[in-house]
Amino acid sequence: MTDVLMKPIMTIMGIFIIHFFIMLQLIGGGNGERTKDQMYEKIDGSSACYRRLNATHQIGCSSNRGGSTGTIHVCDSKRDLNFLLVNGTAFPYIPVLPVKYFNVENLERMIESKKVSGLVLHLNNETLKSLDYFTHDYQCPNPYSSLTDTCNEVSTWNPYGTGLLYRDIPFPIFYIDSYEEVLKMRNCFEKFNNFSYESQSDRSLCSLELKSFMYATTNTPTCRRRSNIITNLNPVKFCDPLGDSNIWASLYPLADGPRRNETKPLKDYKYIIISARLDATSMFDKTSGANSPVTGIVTLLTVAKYLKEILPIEIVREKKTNILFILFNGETYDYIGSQRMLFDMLKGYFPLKGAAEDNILPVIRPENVSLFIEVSQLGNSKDRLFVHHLTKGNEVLGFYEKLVEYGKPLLKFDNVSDSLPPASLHTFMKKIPTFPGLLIADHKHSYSNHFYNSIFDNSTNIGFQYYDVLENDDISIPTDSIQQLIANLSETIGKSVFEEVSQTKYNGVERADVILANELLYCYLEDPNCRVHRAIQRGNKLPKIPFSLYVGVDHVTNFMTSFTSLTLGWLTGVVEKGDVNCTNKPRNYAFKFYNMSKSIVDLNTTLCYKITMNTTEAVSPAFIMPDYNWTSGEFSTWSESTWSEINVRMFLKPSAAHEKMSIAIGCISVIFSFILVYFVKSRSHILFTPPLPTEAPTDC
Amino acid sequence: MTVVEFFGCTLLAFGPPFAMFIFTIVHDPVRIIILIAAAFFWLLSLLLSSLLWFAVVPLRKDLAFGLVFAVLFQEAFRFLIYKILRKAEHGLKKITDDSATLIENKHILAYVSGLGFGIMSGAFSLVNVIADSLGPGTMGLKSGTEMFFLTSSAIGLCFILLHTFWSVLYFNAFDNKNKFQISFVVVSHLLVSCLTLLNRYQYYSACIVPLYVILAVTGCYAFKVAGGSYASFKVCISFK
Repeated sequence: MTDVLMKPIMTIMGIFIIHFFIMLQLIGGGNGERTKDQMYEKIDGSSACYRRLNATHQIGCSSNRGGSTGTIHVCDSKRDLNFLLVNGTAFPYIPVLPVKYFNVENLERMIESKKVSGLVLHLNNETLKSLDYFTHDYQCPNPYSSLTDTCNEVSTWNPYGTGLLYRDIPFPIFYIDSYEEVLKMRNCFEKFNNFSYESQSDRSLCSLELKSFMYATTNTPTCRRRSNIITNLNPVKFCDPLGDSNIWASLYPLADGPRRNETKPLKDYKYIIISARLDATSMFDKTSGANSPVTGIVTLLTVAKYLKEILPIEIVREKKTNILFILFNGETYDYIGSQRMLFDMLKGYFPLKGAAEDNILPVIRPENVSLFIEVSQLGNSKDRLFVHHLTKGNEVLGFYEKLVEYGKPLLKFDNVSDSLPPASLHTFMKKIPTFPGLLIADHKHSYSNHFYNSIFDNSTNIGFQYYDVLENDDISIPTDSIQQLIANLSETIGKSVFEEVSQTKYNGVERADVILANELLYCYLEDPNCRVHRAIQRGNKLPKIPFSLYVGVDHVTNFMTSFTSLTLGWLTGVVEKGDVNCTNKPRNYAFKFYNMSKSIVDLNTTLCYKITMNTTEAVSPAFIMPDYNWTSGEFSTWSESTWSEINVRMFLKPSAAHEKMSIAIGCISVIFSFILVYFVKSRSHILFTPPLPTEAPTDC
Repeated sequence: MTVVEFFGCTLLAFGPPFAMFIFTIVHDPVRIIILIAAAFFWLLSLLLSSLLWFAVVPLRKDLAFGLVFAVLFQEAFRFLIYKILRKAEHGLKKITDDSATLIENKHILAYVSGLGFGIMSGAFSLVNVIADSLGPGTMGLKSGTEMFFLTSSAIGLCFILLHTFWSVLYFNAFDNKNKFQISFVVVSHLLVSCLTLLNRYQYYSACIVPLYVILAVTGCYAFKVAGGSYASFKVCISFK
């Protein structure tokens, strides 16, 4: 009997399965509307706070696996929040709070109340007007990797810093800057939640689900170890080291030769380094760093162009002093970029690993550096700038004198000795205490920027206004604008460096390019499709939002880094004369060749640029040393957790009463039907009179 | 979160058919085969309905069109399985251990195949909906009310039971060439299907109440056709 049965069963099952897949295809391919679409409303345009780890701690936030849910409560004032924390009955809640109430006090109360499972912050116009400060970095940024005693009672660099960026927050936080999305939540809240609070737990409530589950926990070593365990064929990565690339370029090539493929490194040079940092951060996956770092980057690029104009190659060759421009990346997270740069320099890996053996470029070591000039935040000054330094060397004081001299009458420089705000210079001076370095900034004892490393460090913060001008008539750009300040400073630095190199006074009349400063600020703060970016590359149109300045993880190159490196290459590059095809053949590892526009005025004329710019890896040495002692605190150990999805959706959470009713009805239905069917079955012989046997059909 | 709601709805819709399966089907392998074969025939009818819906592009948005043809296809396939079962009766007699009741009381074949039809149709109409109830939310944010899931399950249950009763009536009608019973089945099937169209306007009670009235009427009719009567019912519950 079983054989007879097996065949039709197998056939039927086979057809069943085929059938089922056809059905799935039809359902998937059709324009089906799912019940889910009716139940959930996606909230777009949100940026999450995510988790980072160092050698000892985890910071940031994470949702539960599968998302944290909570009842929406739109708070417009601190009173609303208090009311919720004291009187709320339908917890867990997710307060929707204007961003200005995000501070230590409120956050701690939310954590202590245990009634909060997530937080949504939003921007409103009122906040923008009334915000005096908003910075969540430490009061002393980078406390563990800076020189000791540089941040003290006198010089607390970031006095409004709350340190929340470095707190381990037990619930997810999202930031939403779209007004419409906030309105959606507000309407839902008014419709379902915002009345008779005592009975909230008895009715369906408008709720939010915040999904930002972070895979990494505890600290970087733990997460690295877990990532390296091979348990199956599909290894899981829990965290990635923070990092990107440092950008460097020399004013004139580091190698020279008769023909393109026969260059020799120019050895025994001294180098003046002009540097700035390239990154910023914020609580959320959205940054804006007008004051720090954009003012510094723009100054550096303007100086590069200015020096190219005033300092002829003959002087550089004669005096054997070249200029290096370096943009350090990841400086916000314990000086990742400069730590790696110094590490490479000490090993002889800068500017190129294997430079010594291959004879391509000269090896540059810290002792070859005759002066290190770092440009920091400049946005909150009109004409007064501060030169910070720690060494008493003649180079530094001499350079300060030159700055004062050339700055007249537009700029006033103050000498702040024995002081150094957080800067890449810390890394160098920690290893080499006599390192000749100075830092130019707009602050003396504490940042004049009250929005350091926050989303509000935007163009408004530095009072930037773009002037759409191409001709160099300085009248159109006001003399008290940030563009003019940057141009004046660039000019002063340029002239001082000229004198530093040539040992003679600069007597020319060349001015720094204020139009370039204007354009560059516009590029970084408002529209990446600006003239400079169109001059250096021919890519697709970019969205009109500023580049993210967050350093990111090591295997992803930021737009910021690639565009800035090309800009620096363009400004320091040499135009190849004559009829050349712009390819690097025969290959020369000392240069790159790019077709770029002649100038921002003439975008359509392209020239071939031979450029010296290159990038070096900016990943902390801790991650490349196989036997690094994680507890030593020598190098930055920051890593970022991985995640699979980040999203926010709104829905109606059924009340407990309704859920109980559902399950009760289900159970009653089952029990009742079991009894009834058993009863009918056991008494079917009475219930149904058997039919007459003759009634069988005749046609079979 | 609403795993609770998920279980409530699943139990409501599939509890009674499960009880029927346990007590009346599971002890006889032949009945299981017939149940599955019937379910398969329902699927074939769905395939044809969906092909038709897919082919007639301009009417895709009109649920009523697809619905009417789906009902007609289902009834056609119910007739097909009737024909096949009647042809297979002799073969079944050889392999079943329980030939006396299964073949002699031909309502049993009708009941089993009806339940197969019903279970498959219930599964297909509910699986999508119930799967969506597993998330943290419930209906009511944009449209519908929170009763949506319970209503859907109740309607699903109603259809499973209706299919069972319809098959009993339908098989008997073809055995006896009773045109009235055939048209009763087709018309009531069309009627209840069209009633569910009201759901999208959220007239849940306008749908559920008539549906269960029709279920009760059909149930009584099938009871009578299967050999039951008021007298036998009285005898049955009086425990004499």
